[in-house]
Amino acid sequence: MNEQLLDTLPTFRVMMEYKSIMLEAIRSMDEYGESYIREYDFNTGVFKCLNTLEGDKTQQNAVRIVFSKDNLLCANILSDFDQFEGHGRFFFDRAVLDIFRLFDKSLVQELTHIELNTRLVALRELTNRFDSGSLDFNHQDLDYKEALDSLFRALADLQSLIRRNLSRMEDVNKELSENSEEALKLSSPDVMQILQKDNIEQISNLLVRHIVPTRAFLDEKVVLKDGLNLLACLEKLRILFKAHNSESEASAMLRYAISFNAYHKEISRISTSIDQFLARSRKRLTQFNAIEYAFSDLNDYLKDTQQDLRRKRISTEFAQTSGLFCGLKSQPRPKDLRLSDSPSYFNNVITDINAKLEDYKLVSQLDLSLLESSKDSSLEIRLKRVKQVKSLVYSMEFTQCEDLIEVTNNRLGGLLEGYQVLDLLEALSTLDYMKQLHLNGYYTRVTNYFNQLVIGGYVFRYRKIRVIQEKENVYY
Amino acid sequence: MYTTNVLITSTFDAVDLELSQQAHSQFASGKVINRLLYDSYTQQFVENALYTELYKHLEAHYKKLYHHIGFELVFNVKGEFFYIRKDDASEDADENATKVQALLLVIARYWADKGFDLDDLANENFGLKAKHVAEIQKNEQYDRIRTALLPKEDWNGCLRYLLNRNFMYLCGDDYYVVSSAGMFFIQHHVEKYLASIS
Repeated sequence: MNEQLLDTLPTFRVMMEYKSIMLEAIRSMDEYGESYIREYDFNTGVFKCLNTLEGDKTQQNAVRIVFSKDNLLCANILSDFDQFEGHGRFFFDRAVLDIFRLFDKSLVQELTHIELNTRLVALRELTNRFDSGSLDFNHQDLDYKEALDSLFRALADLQSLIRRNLSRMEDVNKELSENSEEALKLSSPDVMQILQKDNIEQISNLLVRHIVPTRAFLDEKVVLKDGLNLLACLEKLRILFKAHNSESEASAMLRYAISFNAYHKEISRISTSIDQFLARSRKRLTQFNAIEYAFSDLNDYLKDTQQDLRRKRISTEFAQTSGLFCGLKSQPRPKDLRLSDSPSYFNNVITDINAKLEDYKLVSQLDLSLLESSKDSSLEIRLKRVKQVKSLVYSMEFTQCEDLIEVTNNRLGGLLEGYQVLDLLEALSTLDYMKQLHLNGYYTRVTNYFNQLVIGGYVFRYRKIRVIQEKENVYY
Repeated sequence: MYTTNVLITSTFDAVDLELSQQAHSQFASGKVINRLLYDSYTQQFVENALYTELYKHLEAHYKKLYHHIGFELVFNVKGEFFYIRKDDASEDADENATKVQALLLVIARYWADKGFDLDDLANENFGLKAKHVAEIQKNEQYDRIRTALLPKEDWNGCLRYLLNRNFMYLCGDDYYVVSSAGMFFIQHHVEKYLASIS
C-alpha cells in the first residue's frame, strides 16, 4: 500500500497532466447515467496510463500516488468512496468533474427537463425574494448583496451551461451526417439498418430529453403551470431594479434576456434540423423495411423457379398477388385489315367479300375434279389441271390491285384443296395475256418490279402485274 | 300527333381525333399513359396531353370505346395513369406484369438498400444513374432474378423494357427516372407495409 499522500494542488496538477484518465472515467459515468465513477472503470484508466508510461518509473510512481483512493480523499478531490453491490463507487467533487468537462465538449452534460426546472425554481425564488419587499436594494445591505450575488451566479452558470450545450448540440448534426455516411459505405444492409436504427434512437432521445426541454425553457412565449418562465423572471427583475434606480442591474437583466433569446433562436434552428433528419431517417427506415418485405416474396418465387426443373421463368402468380398491371401487353392491329373510316376501306371489305362469294359459286359450277389429284404430276394431267385453273381464272372477276398473281394465288389457295401455285403460273403463262380476264374496265400492266412466292422450298420469282384503272394506264 | 325533336350527338365529335389515335397507338404498343411525362427538351416533367384527353372524356367516351372493341380501359386515380387490358387476359399478359413488377422491385430494393429516399427515384434531379445500374449489374441476386425474367437481356435491356412501357423515362445518357405508374407500384408496397404494422 502506498503511504505517500500529496496536497490538493500537486494532486490536481498531476490529474490535469494525465487528464485522459478522468475524461474516460467521466465518459463511462455518463454512459451509465450515474452520479459516481465505478472503481473498475477508474482503475482501468489508471492502468492504461501506466502502460503508456512504461520505462518512466518516476512518472509511473507519481500517477500511482496521485490516483490512489486515499490520496484523492485526502486532497478533497474525492468526496466519498463506498462499496455497493460488490463494486466500489468514487464520488468526485462536482466542481472537479465540471472542470474536466470543460476540456471535452462531448462530456458536457445535456440539459434535462429536471435540471432546467431546478434552476428555474431557484431563479423564481430569488425573483420573489427581490419582489417581497424584504430587501431594500441597497448595496450596503448584506442581505441584498448576498441575494444579488446569488442571482448573478445563477444566471452566469445557466448561461454557461446553455452555451456549452448548444455547442454540443451543434456537433450532433455533424456526427449524424458522419454516421449516416459511414452506414452507407457498409455493404451489408442489415448492419446499416441496425446502425441507422441506433442512430435514430439516440438522436430521438437527445431531441426529446434535452433539446426540446431546453427550447421550451428559453421560449419567452411558453406558459408554465407553476410560475413564470425564464424570460418573464428576467423581465420582472429588470422592472424591479429599474423601479429602485439600480440601472446597471436592470441593464444586466436586459442583456441576459437578449442572450437567452438568441440561444432560443439557435436551439430552435438545431431542433428543426434534427427534427427533419429524424423524419427523413424514419421514412427511409420504413421504406427499407417495406421493400425488404416485398423483395423477400420475390426471392421466394425465384427459389421456387430454381427448384422446379420444368420452370425457367418466375411464376405469374407473383404479379397476380398485387394484381397491378395485369393484362398489360401490346395489342397489335391486324396488318392486312387496318381499321379505318375511309370509303376505300369499306369498299375493299365489300369487294373482298363479294369476290369470295363469286369464287365459291364458280367452283360449284365448274368440274374441277382433276385438281384433287394434285400429287399426280404427269404431263398430261398437269396440262389438264392448268386448263381447268385457266378456265376458273377466266371466270373470276378482278378489280384494282398491285400484284395480280399474289391476289389470285391467295384467292385460289383458300378456295381449292390441293391447289398449287405452279398451276396458276403455268395457266397465266399460256394465256393470251390477260386480255380474256374479267377486268371490269381495268387494265393489266406487267411491271419491272419483281415479287416472289416461296412454296415448299421452291422460290417462284415473277414480274408483278398491276391491275389499274384506264386513266392510270401509263408506260412503265 | 306528337312530335319530338331529339338531338343526337356523337361522343366521337367531342373528342380530339388526333389525340385519340395517339393514345390508342400507345395502348396498342403495351404502354401506360402517365399524367406527367419527362420532356428531354425542357428537362422537366410536363403534363401529358394524352392523359388529359383520356381524363376529360373518360366516362362519356373512352371507357365505352375500349369496352366496345373488347378492352378494359384501366384508370389508376392514385398513380395517375391509364392502360388497357383484354377482358380475357392471357398468360403472356401477366408475364409482362411479372417482369415489370419484379424489375421495379429490384430497382427499389437497390435504392432503399443504399439508404436513399424512394421518392428520389422519380425526382429528375436524382434518378437512377449509370453508376447505380452498374452496381445493380454486379449484384448476383439481382442478376439471378433478371435471368428468371428476361434471360436474353442484360440490365440495360431490362431498363429498356421498362422505358418502352413508360414505367421509366430517360433523362439523359444512361440516366433514368421512374414514372408515376412505376412509383405507384413501389409506394403500394410501402403503404401495404405501414398498414400491416399499424
